[in-house]
Amino acid sequence: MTKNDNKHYSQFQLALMKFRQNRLAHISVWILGLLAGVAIFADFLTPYSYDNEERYFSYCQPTPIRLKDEQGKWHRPFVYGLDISFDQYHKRIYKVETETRYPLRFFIKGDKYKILGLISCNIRLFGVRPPGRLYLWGADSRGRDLFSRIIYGGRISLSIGLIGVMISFPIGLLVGGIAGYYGGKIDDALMRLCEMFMLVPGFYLLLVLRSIVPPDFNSFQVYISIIIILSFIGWAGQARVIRGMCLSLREREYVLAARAMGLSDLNIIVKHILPHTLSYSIITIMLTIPGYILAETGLSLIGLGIQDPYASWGNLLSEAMSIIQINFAPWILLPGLFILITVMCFNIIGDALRDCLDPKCDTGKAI
Amino acid sequence: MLLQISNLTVKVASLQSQKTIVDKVSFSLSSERVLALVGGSGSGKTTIGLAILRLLAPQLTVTFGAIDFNGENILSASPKRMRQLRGKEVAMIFQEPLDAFNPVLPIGFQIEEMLWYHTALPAEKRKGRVYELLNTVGIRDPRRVARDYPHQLSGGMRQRAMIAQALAANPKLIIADEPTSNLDVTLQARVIELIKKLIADLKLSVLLITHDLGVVDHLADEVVVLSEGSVVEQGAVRDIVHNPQQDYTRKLMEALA
Repeated sequence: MTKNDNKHYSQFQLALMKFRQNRLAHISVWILGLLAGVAIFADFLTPYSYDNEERYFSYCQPTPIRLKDEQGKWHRPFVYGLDISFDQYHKRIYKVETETRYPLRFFIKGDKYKILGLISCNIRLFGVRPPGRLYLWGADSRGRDLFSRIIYGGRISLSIGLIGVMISFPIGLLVGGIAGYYGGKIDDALMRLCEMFMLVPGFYLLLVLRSIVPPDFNSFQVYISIIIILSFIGWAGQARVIRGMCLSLREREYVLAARAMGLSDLNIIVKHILPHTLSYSIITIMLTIPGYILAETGLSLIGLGIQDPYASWGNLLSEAMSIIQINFAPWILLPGLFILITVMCFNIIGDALRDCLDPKCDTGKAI
Repeated sequence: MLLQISNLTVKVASLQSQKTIVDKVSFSLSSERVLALVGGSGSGKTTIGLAILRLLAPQLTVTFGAIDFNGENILSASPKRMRQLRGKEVAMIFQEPLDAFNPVLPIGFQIEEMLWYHTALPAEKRKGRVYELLNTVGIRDPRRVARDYPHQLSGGMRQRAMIAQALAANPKLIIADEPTSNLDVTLQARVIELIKKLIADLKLSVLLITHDLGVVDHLADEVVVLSEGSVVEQGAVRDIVHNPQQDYTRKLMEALA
C-alpha cells in the first residue's frame, strides 16, 4: 500500500494483508487445515478402522505400494504379501512374498463406520482385499495400521486443544475482567485463587486431577474429563494478564460514561472492557492451543490419557517408550512428527498474528 | 422541585489530610429550567455533577448534605435503584465525546444500548428510534452515522451523537458537562443553538456545567458561581451575568472578554 492510496482499509483488512505476506504462516494455515480436514474425514480416508487388529502382523514393517514386480513387469498399484518366520530369539522376521500380489483398490468395502454418527457405511477410499494387509507406515504391537491410527488420533489431539481453549479462555476473560474492574478485595481474592493454580507444577496438578476421574469411565467420558482438567488448569495465567489490562481500561472515560448510562457492572465488563483485549486474546489463544495438545500428549504417553483402543498421538507414542521397540520398529515414532508439525504451525501462526494485530510490536516492515 | 441539593460537602479521604473539594453547596432546579454551574477549573463543578449520579471516584466521599431528586434521597438509594436512575431519569453529556464513546463499538450500538437497557422497545423498533434520535439532533444521514465508529465522525457530529444518546430514554434531567468546550467557535455556536432548540422543543431540565459565561448567557435561566468548592454567588442569569456583585464573577467575565 502506498501513501497515495486513497482507499480506506479497516483494521481487519490491514491485518489480513499483513498476515498474507507472511509466507511461513500462510503455509502453516494450509498444513493445519489439511490435518484437520483429513482428521474429520478419517473414516473415509483410512484403509482400516482404528481398532482393526491382526496380531499375526505385530510390528509389521511398512508395505510400500509398487507398480513394478520382481520380473520388471508393470502392473496397477499393488502390495506384496508377507511371510513370517521367527529367529532363535523368537523375534519376528518378515519376508516379502513376491508370488502373491494384492492390487490396491479404490472405494473398497472395508470396516464399518457411521457418517455423522447416523448413516452406516463401509466404503473406504482405498485398501487391499484380505488376506492382504496394507501397512503404509507399518503396524503397531497388535498389528493395527499406524497410518490409520495416526489420522484417527489427529481427531482427538487436534480437537482437545481447540475445545480446551474454548472452555478455559472465557473463564479467564471473565475472572480477569471481574478482578480488574472491581479491584480491591475481589481482585485480591481472585488473584490469590489464580496463584494457587499457578503455584502447583502444571503436570503434577494434571496427574492429581486425573486420579480423581473414576476408572470406570468410558473413553468418551475420559476424553471430556481430560478436556475439563486441562481447561481447569489453563485459565489462571490468562486471567492474570486480562486483569492487568482491565485495571488500566476501567479508568477510561467511556467506562464512566457507560456507568452513567446505568449499565450493570457485568454488562460494562463484557461489552465495554473485554472487547479491548481482543487482539491479545486471539494471539494468546493461538499460542495456548499447542500447550493443550502437548499436555494431552504427556498424559496419554504415560498411559493416563486416552485409553486403547482409541488413538491419540500421545498414546500412539507410548509404544515408543522402550529403546528395543524403537530399534525394531522405528516407524512407531511417526506420531511424534505430527505433534511437532502441529505445535510448530500453531506457534508460527500465533507469532504472525502478533505481528499483524499488535500495533505496539510493529516489526517495521512496510506493508 | 426536580433537584434539590443542600449543604453538599465532598472530601478527599486520605490518611494524612482531608481536603474539601465541595463545601456546603446548596441550590435547587425546578422542572423545565436550565441551571448553570459556573467556575474555573478545580472549582468542583464536575464533582457535583458526578455526585448526583453517585459516580464519584472511590477516593471522594460525600461527607455531609443531601441530594434530593424528584422527592427521592439519592445518597441513600440502593445500587440497583441508582442503575435505574442513571440514563433513564438523569442522563449525562460528557465533555469529550471521543473519550466518552467506546472506540470499538459503532455509534448506533452505543445509543441503542440505552434503549435496550431502559426501555421496553422490541429489538426491531430500536433501530428506528436510534435513527429518529440522530435526526432530532440534526444528523442528516442517520443510517450511515449509526454504523460508523466514533473516530470516523467529526467533532461536531460526535457531540450531536452524544446528545442523542443522552436523550434516548427521555430523562427528566440532563447533566451537560462542558458540552461545547472542546469544539471550535463556529461549531460551539451551532451546538448551543441545537441545545437551545432541544430545551424548547422537548421541555428539558438541564444542569449545565461550564466555565464559559457566554454559553450560560445563551442557555441558562439561573446560575450558580463556584470558586474552590464554595458558592460565590447565585441567582438569575440576567442579574449575575449583566450585573455581577462579586470580584470572582467579574474576573470570570473578564477572562472571557
